[in-house]
Amino acid sequence: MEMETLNRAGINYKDGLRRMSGNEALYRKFLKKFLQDESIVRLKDCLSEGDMEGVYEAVHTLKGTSGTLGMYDLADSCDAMCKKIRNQEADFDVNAIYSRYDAVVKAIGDME
Amino acid sequence: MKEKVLIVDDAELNRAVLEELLSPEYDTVCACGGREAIEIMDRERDNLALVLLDVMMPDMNGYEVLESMNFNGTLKRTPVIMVTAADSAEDEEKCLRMGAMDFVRKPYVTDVVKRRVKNVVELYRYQNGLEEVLEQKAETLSNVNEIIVAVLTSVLETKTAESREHIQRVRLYTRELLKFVYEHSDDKNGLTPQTIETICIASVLHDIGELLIPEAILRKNSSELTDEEQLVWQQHTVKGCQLIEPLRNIENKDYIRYCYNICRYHHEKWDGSGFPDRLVGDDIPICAQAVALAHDYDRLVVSKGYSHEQAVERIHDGLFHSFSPVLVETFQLVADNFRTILARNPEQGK
Repeated sequence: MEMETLNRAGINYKDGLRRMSGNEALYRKFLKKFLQDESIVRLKDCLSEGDMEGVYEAVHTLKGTSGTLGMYDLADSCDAMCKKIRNQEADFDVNAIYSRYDAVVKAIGDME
Repeated sequence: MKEKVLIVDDAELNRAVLEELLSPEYDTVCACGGREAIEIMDRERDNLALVLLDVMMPDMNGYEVLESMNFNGTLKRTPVIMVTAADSAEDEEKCLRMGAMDFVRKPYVTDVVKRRVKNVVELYRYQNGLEEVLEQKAETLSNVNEIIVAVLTSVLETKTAESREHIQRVRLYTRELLKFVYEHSDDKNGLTPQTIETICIASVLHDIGELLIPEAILRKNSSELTDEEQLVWQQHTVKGCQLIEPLRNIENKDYIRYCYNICRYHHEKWDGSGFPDRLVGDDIPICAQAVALAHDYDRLVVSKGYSHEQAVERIHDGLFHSFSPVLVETFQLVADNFRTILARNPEQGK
């Protein structure tokens, strides 16, 4: 079932729906829209340029939007990375973000 | 017409969610950063019912926007709800300290956002509305008053022995007395800075009743009047009230009430020997007591040729007869200010 697929990909469908006042069409519209969100691109670009301020902003933004849509695993990874950057620790796990991002994107892409 | 809400967020998805959320009830306009937000606020001025402002933005963050709104005064009329990250109590405290009305946490719970937006918009609608009404009222009153003063002082001047300077001085003396009572006396007599202003404006009309007294009587010195003429002249207090009565429908009830009381009771005396109603003591409204003393001082120094010191002494000796002990005492303390008012507003001569 689709809802389970989404849940397995780290999208808490029930909770995300609640955040949208239970409006299913709206929720799905925004899930689709998430595919166009450019934070992930910005994150990659800034990271390769060593622009840590830009990295922080991109991850922070991603944390907000993913949280709003019920993608709590992704939001958690972003949050962890934000904290590391704030504390100027270099051992952040950007790959956790990428893999969780890919998982939600795939699930949304498979959505009706 | 829907009220307009400005949404400021650098992430397009966030803007879209908020827009979707609010567009059923509000007109929405979006900015993708702080600078754009400020441009829009400059353009829209008082048109915005609310700003939803993200804290973390690349070009100019939410705090900087708040600061600028504080600086240029926008924040007084346009409320801001900040959008903060969930885990940052520090941010929330800072938002409120910098003048935001409220905050919502990311990730949003849509119903919470809607509710908070609605609350703040309504609160400000109410507050801005009230301020407007008050401003209009104050303006109406002062406009009307200026016209009344201008017309009536001309009329009073030509028809009676009153001069515009006298009317002006009585108004200023009255303020001095009441202000002192309000600031220093235990019993404020129901005075507030607002009522004092209203009383002073109302004091202008204290002798309006003289317009209905025959000129032949007004032109005479009070000592030359026969007993009968004296009685006719005393009627100016009651007749003034007849002129004021029809104004009772005017919205500012306080103003009319003070006009009436001043007009009718400014010749009453503390010991009950005054006219027209022979009121005693504090049965005489404080506004009329103050105007009576102001009026008396002015009559002594201007019409009767007393020196300031003589007039002060005279009023002091009249203790318990004409005026309330409290007012006489107050008068002694502010007498220097009376002299200054007199010096600044001398008779121009007709």
